[in-house]
Amino acid sequence: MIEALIYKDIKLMFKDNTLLLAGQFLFVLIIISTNLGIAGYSLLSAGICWTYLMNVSSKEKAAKGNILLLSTPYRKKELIIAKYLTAYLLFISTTLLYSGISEIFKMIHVELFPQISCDVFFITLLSVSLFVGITLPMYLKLDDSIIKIVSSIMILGTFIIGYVVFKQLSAQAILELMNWTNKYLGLLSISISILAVIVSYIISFTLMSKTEY
Amino acid sequence: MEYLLEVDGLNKTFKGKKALDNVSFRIFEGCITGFIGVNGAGKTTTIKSILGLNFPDSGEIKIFGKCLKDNEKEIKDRIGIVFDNGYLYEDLSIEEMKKIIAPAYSRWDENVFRSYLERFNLEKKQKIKTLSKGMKMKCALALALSHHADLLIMDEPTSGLDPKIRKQLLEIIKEFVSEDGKSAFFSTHITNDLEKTADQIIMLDQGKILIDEDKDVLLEKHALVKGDKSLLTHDCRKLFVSLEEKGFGFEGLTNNRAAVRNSMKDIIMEKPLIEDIMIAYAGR
Repeated sequence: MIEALIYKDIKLMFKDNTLLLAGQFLFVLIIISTNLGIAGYSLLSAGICWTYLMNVSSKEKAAKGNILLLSTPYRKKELIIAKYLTAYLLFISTTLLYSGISEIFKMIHVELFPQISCDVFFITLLSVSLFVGITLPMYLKLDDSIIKIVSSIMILGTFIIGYVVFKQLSAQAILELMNWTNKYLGLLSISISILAVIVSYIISFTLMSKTEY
Repeated sequence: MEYLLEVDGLNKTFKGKKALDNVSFRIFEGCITGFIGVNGAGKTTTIKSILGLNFPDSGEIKIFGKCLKDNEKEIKDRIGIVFDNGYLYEDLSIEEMKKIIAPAYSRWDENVFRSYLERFNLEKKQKIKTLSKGMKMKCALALALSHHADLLIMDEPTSGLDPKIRKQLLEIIKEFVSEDGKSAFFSTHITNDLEKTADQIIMLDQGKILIDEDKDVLLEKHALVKGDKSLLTHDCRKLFVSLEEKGFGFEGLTNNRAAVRNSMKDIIMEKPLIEDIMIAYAGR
């Protein structure tokens, strides 16, 4: 049953939108990756999840599709789990696609797209999980226009908080923190990702259970 | 005869305003029930409460003798649902829509679905957004009837449709109910649809049930009365649900034919339409 819901989300995302998405993909891949290296991959992964949530949410809200789906034997938890699974499916697909492109370019001796290291993968997984974990419950409850504003504030807020924390810490403390996180990066990323998704799922389910249609 | 749907003492308040006020009714097996009322009467709120899409303040709903909350999946597997505007994804095709809906049902029958598409002249590759309102409704009906549902619930299915398509839809509903153990419950404010199809009429007004009767009994009990205004005494007026005086005459709807016949001479009595009854009760 969940496969059908993932199928629905993928269809809604790409329907009449494939060219635009391919254009965005190529833009990030070529412009960002060539200038900022591996950051292009991370941006691509987070971007695809953002595009997914935004597109599907607006189409679902326009069609009021949840009313029909919740009138069928689909359960609320299945509708929500399908959303997380779709986001991770897109993330994995992006990772595989980027890796494929990177390999092809490597084979023809063009070092345009750096390969994804384990550290980069884990950091990207963490950022994707946090992004999806925070924004998905919002899409269930708030208007898309409000979410755009909140997302922008969140991104800006994260940057400002990071900058302030960075300024407050001494150079030695930063180095020690970096060493420690480097040592346990994989474990930390996976643990925080799982925690983020669980907390986010609980919030999403609570919100959906309290929503009247 | 068994009850397929039992609603008891349903109350619902929206922002301090009572949307449903102690709504209670039963739907029998083998019946087409028309759920009538003017716009804003509370029909959609009742249907959404039945489907668990909103939360009544109090009251109990049993479908197939079971409480929806504890048996949601099992109950919804036996219900076919059609909404006024379909709630179908406009960008998807009929086939894609089916691929989303079909896996939810344990008794989905692909052959039945294909036969409905053929019957409705629908192409599986057609996009929902290219369909007319009538075609969308047919598509929604095909999706609702292809899993051998026992109870068909529809919210204003005929609203905005031309008479030919309305007739076709009503024929399908009659066909559906003719099978053993099936029932249809549909809300509408187009009462013409009910004259030939409905077995039971439930009327809701301002969240309250005003009528809950067998259609034939309801029509038999009521009469449109026309006569001279001079016949209207104080006691006679009390026999009417609604009364309109114009010039020298009057026209009114009574729910007590015998008493009117006995107390008023030289009057004309006509069989009312369901619409006359609905307007009379809603205007009280």
